[in-house]
Amino acid sequence: MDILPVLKTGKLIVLYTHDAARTESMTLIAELGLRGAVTILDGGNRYRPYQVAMLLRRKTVDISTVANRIFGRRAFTCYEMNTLLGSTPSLNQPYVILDLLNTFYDDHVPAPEAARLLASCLNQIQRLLLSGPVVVTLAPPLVNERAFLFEQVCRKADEVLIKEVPIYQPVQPSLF
Amino acid sequence: MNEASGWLLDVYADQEGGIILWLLTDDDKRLRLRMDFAVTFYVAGDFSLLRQAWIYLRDKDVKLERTARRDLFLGERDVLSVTTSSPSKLPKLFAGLSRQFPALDYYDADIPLSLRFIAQTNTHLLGRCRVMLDDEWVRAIEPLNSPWEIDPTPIPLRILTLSPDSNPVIRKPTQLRIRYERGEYSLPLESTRAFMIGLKADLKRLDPDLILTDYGDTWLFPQLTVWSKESGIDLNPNRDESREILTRRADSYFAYGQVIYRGAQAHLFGRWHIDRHNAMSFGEYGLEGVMEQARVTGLGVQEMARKSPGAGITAMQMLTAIRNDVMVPVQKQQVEGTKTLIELIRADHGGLIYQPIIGLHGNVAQIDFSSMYPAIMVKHNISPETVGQEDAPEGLVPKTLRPLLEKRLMLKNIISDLNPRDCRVEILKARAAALKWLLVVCFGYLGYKNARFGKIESHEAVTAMSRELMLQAKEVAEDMGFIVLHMYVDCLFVQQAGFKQSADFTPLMDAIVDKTGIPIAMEGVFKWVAFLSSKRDARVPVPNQYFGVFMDGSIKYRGIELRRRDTTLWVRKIQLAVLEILAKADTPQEWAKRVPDVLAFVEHAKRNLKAGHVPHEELIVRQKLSRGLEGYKSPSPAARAALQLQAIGRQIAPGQSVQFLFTRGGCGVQAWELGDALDYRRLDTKRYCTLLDRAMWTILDPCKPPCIPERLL
Repeated sequence: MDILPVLKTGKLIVLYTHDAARTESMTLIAELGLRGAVTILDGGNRYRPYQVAMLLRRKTVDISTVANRIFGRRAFTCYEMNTLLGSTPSLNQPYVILDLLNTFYDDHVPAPEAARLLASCLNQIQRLLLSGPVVVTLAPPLVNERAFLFEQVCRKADEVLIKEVPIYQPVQPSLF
Repeated sequence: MNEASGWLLDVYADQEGGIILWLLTDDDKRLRLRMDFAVTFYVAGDFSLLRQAWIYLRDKDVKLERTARRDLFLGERDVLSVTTSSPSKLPKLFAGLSRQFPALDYYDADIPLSLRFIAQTNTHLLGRCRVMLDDEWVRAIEPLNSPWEIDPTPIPLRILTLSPDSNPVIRKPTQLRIRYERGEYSLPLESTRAFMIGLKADLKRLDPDLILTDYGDTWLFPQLTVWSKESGIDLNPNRDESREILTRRADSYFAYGQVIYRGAQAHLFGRWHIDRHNAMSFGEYGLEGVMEQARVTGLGVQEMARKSPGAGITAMQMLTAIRNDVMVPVQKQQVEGTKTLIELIRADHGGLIYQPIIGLHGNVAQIDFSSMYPAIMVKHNISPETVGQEDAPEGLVPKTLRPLLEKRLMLKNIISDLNPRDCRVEILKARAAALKWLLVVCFGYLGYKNARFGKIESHEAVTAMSRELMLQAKEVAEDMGFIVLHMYVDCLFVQQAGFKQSADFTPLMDAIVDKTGIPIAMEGVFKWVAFLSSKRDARVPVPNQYFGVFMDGSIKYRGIELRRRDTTLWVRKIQLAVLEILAKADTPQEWAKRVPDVLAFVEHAKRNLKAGHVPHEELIVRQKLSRGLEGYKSPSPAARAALQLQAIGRQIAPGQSVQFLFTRGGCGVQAWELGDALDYRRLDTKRYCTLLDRAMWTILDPCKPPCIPERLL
């Protein structure tokens, strides 16, 4: 899933995997950090700073310069995600939004309220797109009743990349 | 105008406007009183939207005003204040408004009524007060004591206990045991009509303040409604006969890293109902603890018994906010500030853990910081709105915690001064434990997503400060010649040659308090303590997994099978018996000499099991379902047992425990609630022996492989 070549200002790219692109997103953050400033907005407690630091170490010895231009913020409810996006300045740099829908899947938030807040978040994402590319990672909902949220995001996306979970068939091991 | 004084039992909204109070008077009467009581909530946001909200509310029989109120983080805000004289109508009013105008910010809209009442009158639930009455109407109310009183006058409660003769989930009860004061009798359930007449007469005659039940929430009260319809006998267990039982549905939720199941609830009006099997920590601190929490938090006894301590802390913070003219947001919206990768790595840590030195150690003192995290919050003024600020006025969280912390410390001091056999000790311990739980959760709530006043930075500040203090304590100890064997978040294990008595460690404790400013207490001096190694790699120590014996012979253990809820009673009993055998050793050297006794004991226990001498009840395994049954790809033993129950029509929700036995053949388990007799030859004794071996391997860990074979016997 190499999405670096397709990143450009004004483009909203959605990565959809069963684990909200856990590994791919950390690699992407490290790669973007090596190229310049990047902002990570984490909606599902997916941001692994140690993993990013390890990935950076493989590519550079000047880790502190890179680490100082990778900015992160976390949201723990969909209300916070809405506020977080609303208060994120529009800068000329890429944005990576991790597991955007995680907090929207919370069944304590009524579905219409989740839809309203997501619409507001998507408006903010449109604002950020004016100055830089935005990558959003998504994971499937726990219950089908919230699947409409995924569709709501995909309708706004320029590109949706889906990675299916590989289904492993049992293989008879050879004896010798 | 009349006057009455007594204890405030209950406060709730009157359907006809205002509120209803129940007062247990000094002359043992129970008064139902009414009081005019207006409630206000606030709406803020875009002015054009606010105007539309004003138009929407104008014909809703509410008083509307434009005013300025303080948001803890945003400062003064122009808000629309909405006041209604009928608190019972507020939830519906707010639901309609927020549905219509979801983009507006709402404040003070979901504050429990009891908190509003306490904030306005300065009285407290279960507290003493004096009322001036005009017939049934309260014209004035005055507090006669404070919730922070250490020794409040006990309330002369009438308690009625109702319990079925069997767990209704397993077997249909045939009798209801009724206990009142010293009397106890049973009402047969065969004839519904006779039972209902009997129970109704008892309720009328005894007029209890508290109905304490087993399975009252999930079985008795729902059944009473059914039986009432069947028999045509109207039985209203409320003291306020104008009300019906308030029922709440069962639910499962995720908290403290696990799925928790909360059964359906039945709340009463004018008297309390507590189901001992559906009350969160009732087993730990009992009625005294629940009442203490209700007293200091302002939540009703029925609420507090069923809710987590976190709800109590939230209520206390709300109360502080109202008293300080700060609005309580319905939705917290404060978000984390921007951090660079390096800043995040530095800040996002928990408490300090200093890995233990594996093995047996003699004459080790365990010293703990008392309520370390709350003490840090109070001493260093850590609150979401003050974090990162110099010389900020006392924040909302420290302001809330200070009296709680002081009260618990005073209770602990009183307990330590009393003779352990004093009849007051148990009650005081229960109250101190109840306060402890409120203090334990207050730290987590700084970073909890649903907390009203929380911010992740304040959460991080507390752990950062705790790590610093632990390092300071370690330096002090090492400067004084102690060896620090282990540190775990807020406790240290220290040792120095020749130091055996608690008094030997007093200079160290004084020095740590001087350095850190946080109170510290001696947990005890171990004759010996064993720090364990990882089962996967014997070179790696496991933090907070130890057992040892104090100088007075009492045993302390953490992180071993004995502490786990899913360990069978049989294994727990044997592990404890083994620890008691080892406790006879006074030194690590003597410890090894006791090992042959341990092996003989374990061998005997296994023979007993194989001979069918162990009651099946002791072999029950209890495990929680972490998800719905459809969510299991390869069902765990608990899920397989739950499937058996599902086959007989019993539904198990995520977070509920399932009890089962390990059996030979079939699916390997038998759900205990099936109630089928099981031949002991069908028990999977090999599996139980493996569980026991694991538990023994933990205890004999300090011996290491050369002296004990991996399969013990």
